[in-house]
Amino acid sequence: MDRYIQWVLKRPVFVLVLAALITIGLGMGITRLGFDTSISKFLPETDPEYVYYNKIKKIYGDVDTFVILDISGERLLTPKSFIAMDDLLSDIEFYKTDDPVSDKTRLELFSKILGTDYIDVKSLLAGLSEDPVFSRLVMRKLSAISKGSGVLSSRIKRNLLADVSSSFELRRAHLIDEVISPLNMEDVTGQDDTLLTRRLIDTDNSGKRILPRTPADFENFTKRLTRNPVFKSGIYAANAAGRITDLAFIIRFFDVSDSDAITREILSIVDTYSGRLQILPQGQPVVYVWINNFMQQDLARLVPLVLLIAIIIFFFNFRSIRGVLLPSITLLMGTVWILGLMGFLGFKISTVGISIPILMIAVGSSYGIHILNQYYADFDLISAREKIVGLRISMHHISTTVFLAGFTTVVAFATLCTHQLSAIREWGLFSALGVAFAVLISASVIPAGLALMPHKKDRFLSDRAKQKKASHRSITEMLVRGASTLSLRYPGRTLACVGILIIISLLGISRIQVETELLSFFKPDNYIRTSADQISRKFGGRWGFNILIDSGKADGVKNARFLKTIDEFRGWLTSDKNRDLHIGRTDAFTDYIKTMNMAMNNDDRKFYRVPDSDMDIMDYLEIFSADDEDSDGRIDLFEPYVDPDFRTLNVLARLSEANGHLIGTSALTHIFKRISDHLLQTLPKAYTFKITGHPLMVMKSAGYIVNGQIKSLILTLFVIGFVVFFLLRDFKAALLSLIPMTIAVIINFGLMGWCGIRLDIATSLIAAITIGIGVDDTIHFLNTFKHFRKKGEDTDTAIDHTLCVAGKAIIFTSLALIFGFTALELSTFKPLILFGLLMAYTMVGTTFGALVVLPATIKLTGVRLVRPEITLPGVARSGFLRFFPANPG
Amino acid sequence: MKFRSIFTGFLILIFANSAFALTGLEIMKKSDALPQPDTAKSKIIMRIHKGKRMNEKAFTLLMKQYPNDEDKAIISFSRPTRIKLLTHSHKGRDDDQWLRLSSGRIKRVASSSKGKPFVNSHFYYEDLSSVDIDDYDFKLIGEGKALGAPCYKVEGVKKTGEKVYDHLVFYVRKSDFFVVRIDFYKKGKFHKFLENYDVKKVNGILTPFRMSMKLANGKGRTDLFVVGLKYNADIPDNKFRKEALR
Repeated sequence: MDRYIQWVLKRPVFVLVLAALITIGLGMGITRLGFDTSISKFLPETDPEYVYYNKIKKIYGDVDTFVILDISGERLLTPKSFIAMDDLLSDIEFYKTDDPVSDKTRLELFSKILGTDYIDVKSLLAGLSEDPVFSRLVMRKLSAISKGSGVLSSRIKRNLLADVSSSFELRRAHLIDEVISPLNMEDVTGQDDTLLTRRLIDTDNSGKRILPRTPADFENFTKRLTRNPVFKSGIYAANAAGRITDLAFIIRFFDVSDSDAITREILSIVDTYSGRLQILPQGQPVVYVWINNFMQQDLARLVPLVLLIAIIIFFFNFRSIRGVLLPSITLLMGTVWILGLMGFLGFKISTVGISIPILMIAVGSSYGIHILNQYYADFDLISAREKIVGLRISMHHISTTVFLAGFTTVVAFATLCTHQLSAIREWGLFSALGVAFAVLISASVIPAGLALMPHKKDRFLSDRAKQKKASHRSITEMLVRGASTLSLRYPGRTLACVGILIIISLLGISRIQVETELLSFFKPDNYIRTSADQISRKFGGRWGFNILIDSGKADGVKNARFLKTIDEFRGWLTSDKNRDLHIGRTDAFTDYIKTMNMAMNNDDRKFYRVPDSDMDIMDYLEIFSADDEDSDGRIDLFEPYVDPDFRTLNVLARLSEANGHLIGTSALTHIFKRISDHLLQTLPKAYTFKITGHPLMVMKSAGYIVNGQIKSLILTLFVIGFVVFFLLRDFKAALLSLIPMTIAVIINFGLMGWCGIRLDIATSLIAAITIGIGVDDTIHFLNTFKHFRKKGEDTDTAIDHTLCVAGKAIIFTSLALIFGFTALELSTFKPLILFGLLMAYTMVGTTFGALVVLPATIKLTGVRLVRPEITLPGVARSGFLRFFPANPG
Repeated sequence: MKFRSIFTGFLILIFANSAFALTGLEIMKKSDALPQPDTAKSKIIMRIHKGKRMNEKAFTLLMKQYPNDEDKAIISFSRPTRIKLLTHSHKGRDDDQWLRLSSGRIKRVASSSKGKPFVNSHFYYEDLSSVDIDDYDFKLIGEGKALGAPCYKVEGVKKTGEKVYDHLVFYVRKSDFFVVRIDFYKKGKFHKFLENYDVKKVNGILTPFRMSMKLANGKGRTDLFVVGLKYNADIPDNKFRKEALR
């Protein structure tokens, strides 16, 4: 460490330039940083349920997650609305299949028009007027680039061409599996002994939809739409009087984990219809996009805010330009380095990872405070010598302290790299790296900056500073005195009170509930939740899960008895007596068979049921004529509901969040258990079942969070204990070091339990962070205590002196952390708000643990800790007392 | 003029002639002029290869040619179900179709999209319908080999009615103007192709005894095997009446 500080102080300009260059270089990685809110981050790849879910997605597609566009309004059934809906559908269908020949022609024409000099928006669109879908696409992209209508600049042309080309790449990616809507839906009807497969809206020979225009046309359309029961709450919703109030477009993707770009494209299309149609988008992919947007907004808002808070703390602490500038630069650099590195390495910020930059600033600021405190404490020492020599002595002491504190924090965070969930693993990795960066930058940039800056007393605000510092001293003195009194005069009572608090907290822990459902991140009045409510009321839900029922043999699905069993089960799922299941709607293969049966019986509604004869079902399947694009043996319409062998049938159950009812992890557990129990009791022995889907994965991830929490807690405590033992070479010290953190963690979980704060992906990190940061305070205390004991002081005196020396530094750095975490109260996400609150509370706990509980325990147990101090390589010549900013004398 | 359907009539040839400098239309006319049967009675095995499964269906086909380029056909499945499909094809208007289920129930089938698969095979209803040469624009686009034989490559683009395909490319054997292969292009892409194998002369009519419709992406195919065939047999008209379905 000493050599490194020497090296830095010898070439401060080089160090600063190098740090700046690395910052610029890594900073470019931030532009590559993406966001990932997918469930895959919260499940281990080897989890059998997750493996099965992915297997099922390959067979049936990503059917449990979809985008739903709810189109409503007073003038819904009018020619104007239908023209707009037709355009909307065409714009979305553009991304379903590509056409290399026409796409080439389109792009060539577009490039040619763009190549014209002095082309304005009107002329550009006029040149594309024969291709309305493409023309609208260009207009959409242009609106995002430029609001003007004049001549297009070269820059606009270049960006427009790039954006349009990206759209064609998206089209070629074939991400949309299916678009279902009243405008393109097919139906089978059988009136007057005539079997007719038709669209709800007919098309002409060129495939163009013949939209209803007259009242009679709309009446005809309404009749077609309402004839088949399967469409109700599927692609249309009606009020109590039976009047159609909403129409729905449902868009299914091939792989929802890669749906961000296409969902954003769909949402941008929807935006362009805001003046023509009243559209409410929802569905899991839409929620993901919204959450990603909120995360970006949170980052853009919270990172500067936490930085500002850190700067304010620096200002009140140091009252000097260097005292504000140097640590602020290190925080900024540390944040840029870690985010840039994540971007370059292709990692994405998860809902957990969003806390990394804020954590880095909060933790990093304490290192800056330590180093500058040391500089000001050693000001006279430096003044008395040649500046660089003085700085070297001063920085050597504190950099070792910072190194020790940083090392233990890195180790604590790094233990999370063993976690089963990739989101937590990545968080552990990058938090550990971030702390390492913060230590490296603080130990480099601040000494280098101090070496270059003139060494003189900051006259600016010096009088006020004296005054304020005096007042600070009095506050910190009071706190330290209080800690000393509690731990030395009333150690038994203090520990008894803490013991009672622990018992109360342990009782609270048993009340903790786990929550991993994304919508729980938002307040009930948030748009994401209110729109989910609306979609649930009208269309049965915005997400669902799969109940796979195996008939036991190939083609077993074509059996009437089997299908009737399925239909009875579907009825049970949505019956009034089972409202606690929150199933808003089910879809299954039987819908097609029932539709065919009704059609074959002259559209008589009483035949909307599974036929009695197996042969009828076989016949219906022979004559049900539809595309099988991938030639897997199932027509495309059946793919979400049967496997290629027609052995297993998938009942897709939508979860309803109507009336603001949030279906969280515990509700999901109840739902899946009830369904499983029912199927176990009622399903014939030849049939088996399995439940899977996104909601099940949400439930599973909760289990991993709880198990991971316990495992990582034990591992982190063990590793930290070992590290402290290694550093201090004292087993008792290692055990003692765990006390403040363990108490803080228990009290934190107890508070969560008693206050009904759920354990989620953000709050689950508190334990690890508490240990990672809390150990710093403990090490400060124990090292200083050992030092005084070694000097021959008795336990009481050593504790008192230790509190005077280490206590102040601990209080100051804790304040920086507490205020830093408090900034999270401005987040959009409930978990982050609670995370910030709990972290601030826990920091108070670790500080109390280090300053009161730890000395009280030492006092009561009589632990001596007088074995020789550890000397790290390069710090052999210095005692630990010298690592601390304040002078005990 | 009608270019016989791929399925019901099989592709018929005429004698070989030098056809130097023929246009696409002339080549197709020569192919269309190949001897054709007035009636056909055949037994066909259909094997549909999709995914890892092969589904076999068996049916008999009765077909009779009528004046004004109209024909009637009845397809009777014997497995896996016993449905029957009666088709009356007309020139210039939609076909009439009736369906009889295994249970005996009969329904008229109203005309619907021709771009839909026939009994979940790789053949579309469009492929089964008689094609009127007058409905297409033909263009000779080159020469090439198909099933080892030198062929004319003629592109056909439908100009009237429902357009299921962007265009077709016919491989017309130079030696006898028999169409040995057809490429089907859909949505700007090469979608599938039909090949005629085991071509033999039956009553002077060139007839493929195996036809294979294969997807261009190699993901599936449907093979048709002719296991019994009789041309120009006396098939009474009442065999093609709706009542005959019972």
